Amino acid sequence: MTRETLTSPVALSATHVSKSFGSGPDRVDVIEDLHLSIRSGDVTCLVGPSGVGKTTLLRLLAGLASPTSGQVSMDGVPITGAVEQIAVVFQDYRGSLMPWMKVLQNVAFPLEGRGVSKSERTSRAAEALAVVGLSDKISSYPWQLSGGMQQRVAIARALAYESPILLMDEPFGSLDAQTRFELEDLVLQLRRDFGITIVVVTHDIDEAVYLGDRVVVVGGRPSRIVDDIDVPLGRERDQITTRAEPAFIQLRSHVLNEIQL
Amino acid sequence: MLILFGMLALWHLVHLSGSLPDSLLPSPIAVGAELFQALLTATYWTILWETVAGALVGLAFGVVVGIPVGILTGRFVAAELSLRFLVDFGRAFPAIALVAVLVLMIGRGIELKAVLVFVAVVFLIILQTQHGVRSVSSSIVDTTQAFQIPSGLFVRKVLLPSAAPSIMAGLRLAASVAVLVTISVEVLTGSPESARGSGTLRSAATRSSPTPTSSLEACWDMRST
Ligand SMILES: Nc1ncnc2c1ncn2[C@@H]1O[C@H](COP(=O)(O)OP(=O)(O)OP(=O)(O)O)[C@@H](O)[C@H]1O
Ligand SMILES: [Mg+2]
Repeated sequence: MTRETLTSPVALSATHVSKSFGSGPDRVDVIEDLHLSIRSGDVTCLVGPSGVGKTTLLRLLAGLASPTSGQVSMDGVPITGAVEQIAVVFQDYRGSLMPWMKVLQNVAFPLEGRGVSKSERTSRAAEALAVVGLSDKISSYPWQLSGGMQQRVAIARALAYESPILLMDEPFGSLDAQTRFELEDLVLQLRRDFGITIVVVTHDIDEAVYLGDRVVVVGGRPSRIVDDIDVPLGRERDQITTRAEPAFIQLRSHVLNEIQL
Repeated sequence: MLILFGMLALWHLVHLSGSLPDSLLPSPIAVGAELFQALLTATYWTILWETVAGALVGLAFGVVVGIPVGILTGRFVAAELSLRFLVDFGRAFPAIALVAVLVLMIGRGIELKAVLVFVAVVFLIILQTQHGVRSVSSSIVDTTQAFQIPSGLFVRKVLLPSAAPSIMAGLRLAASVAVLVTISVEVLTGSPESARGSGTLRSAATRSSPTPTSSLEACWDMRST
């Protein structure tokens, strides 16, 4: 697959970003004066307790919501709405697939909006489904698939869009451990094979440390960045050996401590 | 099916017992014969067709206007607010009450039925479409936003399919309302037969109705007069 690459070492950046909902006495400040730069080619994990504003932050980065103040830019250019260079996998993947479209149509649909020809849409969608290991399911409906398979479809849809940046919101939240491990390795494979810049939001600390080249801890109310750690585990990871490494264990206790504070 | 046969048998027995005079309760066989004869005459079918055509035209306009308006008002709060009064008022408004005025304005032809059916079904279709459009999950809306799906494609491939069950339910309801309204119009105005100067109000109305029970009634009328 060909995809445009990013020119700058910083793929996405948030500067002085604040976000509040409502106004007057009902006003909730979710994020206040947050700074964050996502490096190109990294897997960055945003980790934090439930309700801290991780989804809100991801929507800001994706251009799906605009900050109350401050600015989000991609490749150095401010973004004010959704852009082609960013694909998103949502927290509620079951709800984000269209139940009236077959798997292949679901994956090809965003390309139709871009005016890609029908034959190219189909071949790109089939290719993306092959990458996630679902070639035999292209003519099933999403509701005929297991949760893990549905999530693979959502990933394939983002992959077929061929964006250099992929944002994922708690992508494996409701899956069993085995499926989770497989999909985590799929994410690492996407980074390795396609050089995609990936941001994964999660509340699972082990997952954050296993996947991340960098772990960003979000906390507080309104939330800000509590810690920003480069993961010293190298780029080749393995579910069994990596999770047993002393560096892994030490880092996860470190992050756990920060989240419990 | 069994119940139907049972009813017919009971009817026949009551008739045979002679407890009711023939003019009140004719035998089922006689009614069947009359109905069969009526089905063979051309007038029966023209009249039936006029009833159906009136309902169909009104229904078609209801769909053509109701679905787009429903989509707009379902998607955009401003559109919904500006139309809310009209829709709430229209939904509660008994279309049949317009008969007298409309007869003076446009006569008793097919137009009258079409207009009344339209008024009776359009608000129903608007409301059902609105409801369907609002039931699209927020994750799907988010997804189409993130992937920048253009609005035309969004309406065709996302909004309409996901609102389809609700719209279909509205259409089913609208279809029966359309038939009811048409028949009521015919009862009230005596069209289409009286427009041609023949027949009584009642027999015209019942004979032109498309339901078999009313056709039975029509035969009944013929016998008892
Ligand atoms: N559209 C909105 N209107 C009002 N408040 C909102 C809105 N979206 C989010 N919030 C509030 O912002 C806060 C953070 O929500 P958010 O969904 O970003 O948390 P999260 O970290 O993703 O949680 P979880 O881990 O449970 O998904 C919550 O208190 C929520 O009530
Ligand atoms: Mg969330």
